[in-house]
Amino acid sequence: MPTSTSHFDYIIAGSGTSGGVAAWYLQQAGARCLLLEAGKYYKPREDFPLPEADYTAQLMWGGGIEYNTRCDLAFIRGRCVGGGSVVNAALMDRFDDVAFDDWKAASGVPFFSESAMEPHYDFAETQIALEEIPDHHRNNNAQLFIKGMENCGHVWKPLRRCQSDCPTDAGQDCIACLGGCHRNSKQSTLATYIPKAEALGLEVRDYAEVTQLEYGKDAVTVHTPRGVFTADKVILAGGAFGSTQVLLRSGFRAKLPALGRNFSMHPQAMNLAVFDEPVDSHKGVLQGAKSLDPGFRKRGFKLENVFAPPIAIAVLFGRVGLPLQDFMRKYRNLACIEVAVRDENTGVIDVDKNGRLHIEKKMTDQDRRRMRDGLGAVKAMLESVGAKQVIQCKMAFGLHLMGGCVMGTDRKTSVVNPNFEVHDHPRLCIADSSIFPNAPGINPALTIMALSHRMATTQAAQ
Amino acid sequence: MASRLLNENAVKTLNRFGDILFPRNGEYPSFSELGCAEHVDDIAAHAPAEDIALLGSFMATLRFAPGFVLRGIVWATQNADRFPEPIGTNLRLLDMGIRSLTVTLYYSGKKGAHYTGPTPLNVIDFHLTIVRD
Ligand SMILES: Cc1cc2nc3c(=O)[nH]c(=O)nc-3n(C[C@H](O)[C@H](O)[C@H](O)COP(=O)(O)OP(=O)(O)OC[C@H]3O[C@@H](n4cnc5c(N)ncnc54)[C@H](O)[C@@H]3O)c2cc1C
Repeated sequence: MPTSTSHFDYIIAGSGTSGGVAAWYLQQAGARCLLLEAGKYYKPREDFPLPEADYTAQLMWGGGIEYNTRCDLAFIRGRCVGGGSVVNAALMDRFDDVAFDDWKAASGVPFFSESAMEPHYDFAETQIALEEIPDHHRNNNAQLFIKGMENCGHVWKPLRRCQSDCPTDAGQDCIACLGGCHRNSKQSTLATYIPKAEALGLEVRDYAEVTQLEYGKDAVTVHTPRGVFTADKVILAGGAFGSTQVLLRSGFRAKLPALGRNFSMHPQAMNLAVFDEPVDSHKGVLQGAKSLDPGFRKRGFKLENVFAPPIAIAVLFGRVGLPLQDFMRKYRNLACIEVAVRDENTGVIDVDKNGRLHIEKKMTDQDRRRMRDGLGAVKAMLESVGAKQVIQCKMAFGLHLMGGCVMGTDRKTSVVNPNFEVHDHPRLCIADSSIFPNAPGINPALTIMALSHRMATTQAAQ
Repeated sequence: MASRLLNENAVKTLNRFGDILFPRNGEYPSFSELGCAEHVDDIAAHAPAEDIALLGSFMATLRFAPGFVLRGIVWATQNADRFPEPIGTNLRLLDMGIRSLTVTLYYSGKKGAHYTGPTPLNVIDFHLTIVRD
């Protein structure tokens, strides 16, 4: 039952990549803001759980993993103050004009271009520390990735992460920061924007999942297990699933025919290579290099130099019994390259009568072709560096969940207008990953921050 | 340690499934020998309550099922794609329910109060260094 009622200028529902930026910008612009988050407020230096089993269960939605209705695609998303920015790999990339041109074509939104977005990227980048991973910090997995790329004539680049003061030389193993960074080096919104906003008076409530909204003439009412709140305006920042779910639960489907549509996820598949000697991919800096091959971009996939802790590797391996145990004995001898596909946005986000998410998403023929091309490139790379065996994990998963409330000029095919307002509902704004018109094929976090900055400046100007 | 979320019959079946998925194998303990199911609530408490209730009742009804039935279920979940829909989808769901829970517990580093041998994380020689300050 509701326990309190309060009125704010803005309520921001969701405290991840988008919500953190929006909350800080609006608070420092003089608005009275409340940040509501479904998950827990962890104190980074004190209480992030360390074992993989615990952080996966506690920091992710669904107790670790969620699935599409056919249960052949998996989704991972953060559930805590800081959201995806706490659990992600902190790779920060700007979009290219290939991505923006496709967005502009699909949405009719004029500011989707590298040049129009530049000031927002610039701003987002000045608020976080960014570091390029230097040669001497690349672990064996990254070295094999680079060698494989070069052997096969592909273009690669060092990675840029939002981090500061990672004690790599002292032996830090960054894979642990997938469960939250224990020393606040990762520049999540929990470590950057949110504490700055709190210092200016931002109120934050954790365990406050927004279950429903009521849109009124003078205010929006927000229902959560921690009370009912009202605001002049509400910024939905629950991510593709969270923001779409709130609108669906609140009965907006009838008014917004495109609500829940155009979901994409950059399906990713891991390729594990077994070597004779230990590779120790879990040691040191988790990721050090990325593919930047124009041929890959044209063919609709990219390759990630990445690895995962034991439970994730064992689940993705797919098999059980002695084959799994024997395979896991080689954990230290594994290298890994992941294929991420720029997929078609044919997925649909829906809710059942209890408000639970139902995700209809299938890989299309084009998605499968792209995945096959990527897997072929990876196999050649891994074999060129002496892998004894290459195992392609069967289940693809999505870490970049996008769409559901896409931006556009046409209210029949989109949910928010170019001012980030829900069509015909100017008291509701969205700038998170749910507004992506289609899959960019590039890491999304920095662009979500830039879009949130643009939304917040537009709001502050009003 | 008794589970608050799964009844005794369900935990017994979890251990039986666990032993099929993770038998004793060299230095690896079997799932039940490791005793990791004692920590099932650490994981299950954060999953959607309806899903855990469903998995719990499924497990509880299989308490006295003969071993070949459980092995048959594991075989079917591992070969879900061979079945027509919607059976395939339900088998995949069951696969992820059973497999992700047992894998998570087995490779969690946790063990039962009475187990003194190496954990599966020791067997695969997994260690992390966290430099706090
Ligand atoms: C393991 C992993 C690795 C990744 N690595 C990278 C990377 O290296 N680079 C990159 O660019 N991207 C990466 N991503 C993706 C990136 O983190 C996300 O795309 C991004 O965080 C999405 O931002 P968002 O603001 O849309 O949503 P989120 O950051 O997910 O934030 C949404 C927040 O809202 C909360 N919420 C949801 N519903 C409600 C509700 N009803 N009420 C209240 N709160 C709610 C959620 O709990 C969450 O905290 C990764 C993601 C994962 C999971």
